[in-house]
Amino acid sequence: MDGVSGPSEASHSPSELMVAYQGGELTAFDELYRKLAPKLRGYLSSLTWDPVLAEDLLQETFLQIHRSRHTYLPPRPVQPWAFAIARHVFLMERRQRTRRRRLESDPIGELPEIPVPAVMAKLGTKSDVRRALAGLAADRREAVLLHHVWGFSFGEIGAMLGIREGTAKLRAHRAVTALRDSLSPHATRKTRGATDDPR
Amino acid sequence: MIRDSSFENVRRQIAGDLSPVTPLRSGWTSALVAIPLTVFLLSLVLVIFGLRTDAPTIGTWALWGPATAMIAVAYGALVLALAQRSPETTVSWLWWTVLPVVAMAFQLAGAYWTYTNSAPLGPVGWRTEAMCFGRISLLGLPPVLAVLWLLSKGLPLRPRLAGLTAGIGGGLLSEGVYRLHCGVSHPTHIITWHTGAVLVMGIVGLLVGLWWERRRLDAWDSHHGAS
Repeated sequence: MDGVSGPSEASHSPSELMVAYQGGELTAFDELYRKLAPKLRGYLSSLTWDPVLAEDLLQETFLQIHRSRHTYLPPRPVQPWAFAIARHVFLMERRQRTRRRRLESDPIGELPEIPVPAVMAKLGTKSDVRRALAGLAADRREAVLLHHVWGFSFGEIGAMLGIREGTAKLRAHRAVTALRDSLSPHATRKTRGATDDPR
Repeated sequence: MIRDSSFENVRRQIAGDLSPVTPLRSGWTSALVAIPLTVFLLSLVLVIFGLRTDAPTIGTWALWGPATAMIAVAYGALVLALAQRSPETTVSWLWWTVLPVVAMAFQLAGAYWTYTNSAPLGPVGWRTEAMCFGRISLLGLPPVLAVLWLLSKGLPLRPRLAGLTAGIGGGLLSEGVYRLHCGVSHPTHIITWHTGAVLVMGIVGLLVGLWWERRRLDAWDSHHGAS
């Protein structure tokens, strides 16, 4: 048994787990990993469009989370903090590539297994939606996924991306509109009232 | 039980380094470092330079009021800088607009307040004016370096912006305190030489942030260079 058994015995909030992890409990890390990894993997996949690279970055994200665990301020929500670190890791990797000029552009290969936002699920098959997501501008795609898939508020997205709340809302809204248009031009009129949710 | 090779890799790497850590303080609390820094600067200014010679004419409020206001604005800038130690906190562009506007407004209002209460001053040579620039810059270095050091304890995701804010905060602190000595209250002097020194401090912070960003990228390269 590693560390104190508390956090692993019952369902604890990520914030409680994070406090225990800061206190040196490995079991708290295990539980945190279980809670955060699927979401972070999906987020990194949506950023990289490369499942293998996303997996590498996921490991790097957790290592960075470990090195920076003192920068989490309880009792703030853990998820925006972890996502911000994942984004930082992604940007570092991208800057490294740019610096070395290995990749001039990132070709979209195999579409990653990212969750499809519920708001678009009815517009087409999952692979159709993923293809449509691939066609979006990266900043809009990121905003719509952060809001509709991982449930961040626009305020949190704004803080994470360093943009205003209104800009985050606008990006997500435009992404939803573009997805609707590309997936089902006829559905736009039918579903506008029900699914238009830029909040 | 998690069956995940990524998990096993990460777990293996962190297992040997699980010493308890103390969470950073919030930006509001960390920025209270402005208090000892102000005391330090105040001691330096009063001991080395002394209060401005016409302090009795100006009166307590017009002398200490603008200085205190500038120190309060500096505290706000330091809050913005130090809040960025936590990665999920970024300073929105709204604050970036508000900070210089508020700082300039306070500077001008304070200068005008002191100016209207002070005795008319004869012509002042550029050397005297430039001295303010040099002294504010020099006095600003310790607070800027102290705040940058505090920043380095965290993980600011935009080191250049964090450095710039820290530099401006430290510069404003120095400017606020140095006002107690500077005998030239004309708003033109304040805007040119005092604000100029604050901007230089901002540039110092920006350059340190730039260096920090490059060093971080170099470290990343050396860890992942083979990929």
